Amino acid sequence: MSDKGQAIVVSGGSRGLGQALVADLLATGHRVATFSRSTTSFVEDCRQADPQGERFHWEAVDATDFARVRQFVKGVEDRFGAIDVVINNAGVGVDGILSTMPDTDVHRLLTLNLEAAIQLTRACLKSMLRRRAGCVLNVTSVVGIRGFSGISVYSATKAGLDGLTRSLAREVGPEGIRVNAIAPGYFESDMTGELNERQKKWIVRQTALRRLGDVADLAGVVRFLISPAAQFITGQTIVVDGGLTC
Amino acid sequence: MSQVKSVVHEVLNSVADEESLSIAEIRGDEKLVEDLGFRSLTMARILAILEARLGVDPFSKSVAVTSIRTVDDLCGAYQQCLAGEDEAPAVDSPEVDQSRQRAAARLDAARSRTTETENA
Repeated sequence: MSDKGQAIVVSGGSRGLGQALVADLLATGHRVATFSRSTTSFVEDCRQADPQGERFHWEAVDATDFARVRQFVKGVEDRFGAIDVVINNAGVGVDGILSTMPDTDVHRLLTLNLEAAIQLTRACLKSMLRRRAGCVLNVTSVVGIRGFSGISVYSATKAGLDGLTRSLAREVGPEGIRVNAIAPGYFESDMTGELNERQKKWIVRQTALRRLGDVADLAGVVRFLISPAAQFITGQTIVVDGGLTC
Repeated sequence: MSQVKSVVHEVLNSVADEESLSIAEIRGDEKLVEDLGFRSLTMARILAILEARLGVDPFSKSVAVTSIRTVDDLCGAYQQCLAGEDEAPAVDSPEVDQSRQRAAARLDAARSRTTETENA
């Protein structure tokens, strides 16, 4: 890690949780490269604040275009000199009863939520293997741990990321590379914005801390997990849900 | 010695030093795993270093990494890629079959260890 902070790749950093993570990481002195299919006002603000792209870099990339993702990663490594951390945040939430879910939705969930994370991780691992150091952080979900009706495929992708976390941690640990996951509960975001008030109240009642989460609740945990303070933590899924699943 | 061979040998020697593996002067016919002692993860690191040094990755599409057994195999893969003569390996190559058998053996061994642990 250089004096300029860690060089961090975040998938899907243009909005929602990804945007909050990118903003927090930049504010705490790291260099961040992110991608999404289209730009947003947040991305444009970051670019205007850093026109040379010394600390923030964004490109229009479809996470499921794996050749383009590899090209993006190569460019980040050239720009920042190395990749210290990759945060697999990009994902889509599609709900529906499995027996009537279209093939296209199933495929989209599996490709974007799971395979895209695997491909991005594989691309970033090369830089980490060369330096025998690095950190992979997968954004999973409490629904990968507990069952919720109507999101079985989404749950499968998140549980898949948890499995990837554990096995990859064992695989690359000998080279000093850590792999962890953060499993958010329900927090105010674009995805939970579609919940009605009755649903939100039910979730709050089930939550030990009696509130929905805020992205700030997650950013601190991310900062910890990618920091030297977590240097002996790997292969773990840290649940941040206010006690929803306890 | 060609430039590719020179780079490959240099990287192998460097990584062997880091891994505290003592290897004599590389001839080319040594098996990377059985003779030189590189683990699969170390091989992954070697390939990552070679990709950065040589600017190509023969194993992304055209060459099965499981077909690489010796130092000369490794050099040949990069030489072919750089020359633009990469060809897809045969799907049912003996090397792929042997790789599958080794993977199956590792899985059986892991299952045996799990059974012993549960019965302990």
